[in-house]
Amino acid sequence: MSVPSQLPLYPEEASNFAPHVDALMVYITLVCLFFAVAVTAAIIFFFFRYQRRKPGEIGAVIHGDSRLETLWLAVPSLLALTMFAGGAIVYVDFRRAPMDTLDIYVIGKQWMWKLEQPNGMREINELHVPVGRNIKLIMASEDVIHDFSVPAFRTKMDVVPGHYNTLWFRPTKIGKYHFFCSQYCGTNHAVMGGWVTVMDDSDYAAWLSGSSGANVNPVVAGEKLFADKACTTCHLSDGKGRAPSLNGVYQAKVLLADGSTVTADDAYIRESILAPAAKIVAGYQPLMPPFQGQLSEEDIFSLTAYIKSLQSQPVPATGAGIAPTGKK
Amino acid sequence: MAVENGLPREHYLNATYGIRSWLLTTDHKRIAMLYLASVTFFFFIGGTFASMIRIHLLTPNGYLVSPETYNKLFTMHGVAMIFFFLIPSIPAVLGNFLIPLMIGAKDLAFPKINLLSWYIYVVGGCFVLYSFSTGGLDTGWTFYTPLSSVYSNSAVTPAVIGIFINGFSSILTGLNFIVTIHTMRAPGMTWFRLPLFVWAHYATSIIFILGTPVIAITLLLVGLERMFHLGFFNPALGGDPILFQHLFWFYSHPAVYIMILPAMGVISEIIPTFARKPIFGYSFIAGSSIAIAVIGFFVWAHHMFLTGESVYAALTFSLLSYLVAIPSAVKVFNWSSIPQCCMRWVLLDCF
Repeated sequence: MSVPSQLPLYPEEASNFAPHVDALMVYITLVCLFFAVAVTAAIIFFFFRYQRRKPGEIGAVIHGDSRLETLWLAVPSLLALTMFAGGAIVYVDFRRAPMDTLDIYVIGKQWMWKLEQPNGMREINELHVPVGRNIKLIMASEDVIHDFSVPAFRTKMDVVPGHYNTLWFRPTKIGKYHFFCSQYCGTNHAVMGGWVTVMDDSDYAAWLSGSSGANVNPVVAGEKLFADKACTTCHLSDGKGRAPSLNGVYQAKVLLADGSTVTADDAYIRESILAPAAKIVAGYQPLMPPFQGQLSEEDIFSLTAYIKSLQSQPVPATGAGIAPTGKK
Repeated sequence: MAVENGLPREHYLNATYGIRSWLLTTDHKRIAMLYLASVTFFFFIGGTFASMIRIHLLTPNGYLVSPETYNKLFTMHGVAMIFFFLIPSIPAVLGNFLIPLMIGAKDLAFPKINLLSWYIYVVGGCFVLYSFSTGGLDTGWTFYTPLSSVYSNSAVTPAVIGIFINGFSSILTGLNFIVTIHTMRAPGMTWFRLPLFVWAHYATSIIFILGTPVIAITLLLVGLERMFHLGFFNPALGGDPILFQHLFWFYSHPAVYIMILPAMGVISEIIPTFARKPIFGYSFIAGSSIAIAVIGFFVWAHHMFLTGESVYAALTFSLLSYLVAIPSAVKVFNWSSIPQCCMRWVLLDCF
C-alpha cells in the first residue's frame, strides 16, 4: 500500500488533516532526535576528554554558569513554543467544523458502531462517505465512553454518554480505511471497529439510492415519536401551545427565561428533551417532563432529524421564544 | 563508637532481633526496609501480570487467555505497579532511609506516623490483593466512568477502597518529609545547602499532600456510585463522566512527577559522586524540581483533548504542558555538564 511519498510505517494519508499532522510529527521527532543525539554525544565526549589521567588528579571545581543556564532555558522554551503553535493550528482546525458538512449520526455501544446517513440509511461497523466532501460525525454513546478513530484520517474523538461530540474530516483519497474504538470500553474493545469506504460522488449517490425500502427515514420515525410521546399536545406549530413552536428552531437563537440566548443545535435539543428544566425558554412555564431514560440515542437522533425538517415550514409570526435575528 | 569494616559495631540491622522488633520499629531505616520488601512484593505481582500479557502476545491470535482475562491482566498490572510500586518506591524506601541522614536529623519528625503509613499501605494492599484474587478488575488503571462505576462486572469496589486507603500512606509520608525538612535540619544546613535528593523529595511531598486526597475521594465516589447508585459520574443518574476525568487527572498527572522527581533526585546525587565533581547549576536543579511540582498541577487536561473540552481550555493546557518540559530539560543539560572541567572553553567560546 505504501507510496514513495509516504512516511514509512505510517498509515496512508487520506484526509485533509493527515499531511499537517504528519508534518508536525516529523518536526517534533527531528527536534527530539537532535537533542537526544547531541546530549548523548556530549556526555560521551566529556567522559573521554575529562577523565582522570593520573591517580590523585583533582578536577576543576565548577558550580555552574548563569549564561549557559539562560541559554538552555531560552532555546528549549522557544522550540516548545513553535511545537505548541503548530499543534494549536492543527487542533483548532480539527475542532472547528465548517458549515457545509454532510452530517452522519454515530452511536457507539458495547461493542459495535451504528451509523446513519442523512437519508436514514443505516450501517453497522461500516461507513460510506464521498471523497472531497466535508463530513461531520455527530456522535453519542449508549453506555460507556468510546472513541471513534480513523488512523488514515489522523483524527479521532471520544464518544461520551450524556454528551454529543462531533468529529469532522474531508476524505481526500478513494479507498477503504480501518476505523477503531480507541478508548478502552470493556471486554471486546479490541474488536470494536470497522471500515470507512471513501467513494467518488457518483458511486456514493448510487450506493445511497441502492438502499432497500427497509430504511426508515429518520424524519418519518421522528414524526411518529413526536406524536407517540404526546409532544404534539404542547408544541403546537402555530406557537399558541403551552410550549414553544419548534418550527424553524433548529440553529436559531433561542431566548431563555434567564435572559441569555443559546443556539438550538443538536446538543441543546438533546438536553431539552432529556432534561427540559435545564434551559427554560422565555415566556414559558417549566411544564415538560424529563425524558431521561425513556428514549434511546437513536430515538433522540430521529426526533432531532424531525425538528430539523421543520425548518422548511413557516415560522409562526409571533416567533415566541426565538430571539430576533439581526441584533444581539 | 567502635567501627569495624567501615560499619559501627551496632547499627540498625543488628541492634535488636526478632519479628516484633521489625514490625513495631519506629526507626526510619528499618521502615525503609519494610517498604522495600512490600514494594518489591508488588513489583513482582505487577511483573507477573506483565509477563502474562507479553506471553499472550507472542502469537498474533494469543492462545493464553480470554479477552476478559487479558483486560484484567493489564488493569491489575497498572494498579499494582502505579499505586503500590512506582509511587511509594523511591520516596518511601530511599527517601525514608536517606532524608534524615542527609539533613543531619536523628529520624523523621513523626517516627510513629512513619510506621503507621507503612501499615496503611499494607492494609490498602490487602484490599487490592483481595480484589485481584476474587476475580480481578477490568476497568483499566484509569477507572474511567461509567465503565468502572456501572458497567464493569469485576471486583472494582475492593480495589478502589484499597487505593483510597493507600492514599493516606502517601499523604502521611509527604507530611512527614515536609515537616522534617522544615524543622530538623542540622545547624548550618541551610535550604540552599540541602542535597538535591532532598529538594526532589520536598517537591514530591508537596504533590503527595495536595494531589493524593483528590484521587482518594474520587475513587471513593466511584465506589459509592457502584454500591449505592448515587449519580456522580453516570449520566443516566444525572452525573457527568467527564467530571471523573478532571478529578482523576488532577492527581494522576502530578503523580507522573511523583514517579520521576525522586528518580531525578537520585540522578542528581549519583552523577556528581561518580564524576567526583560538584553538581553543575545546583540552584537551577533545585528550582526546577519545585517548578515541575507546581506547574505539574496545571496541565491535567492534556489527557482530555478528545473529550470535547473547550478549545480554549485545550490550548491553555497545551501551552502549560510545554512549559513543564522546560525544567526537565534544564536538569538534563546540567547533568550532562557535570563530568567536564572546562565548560567555559568547550561551549561558550564556540558562540
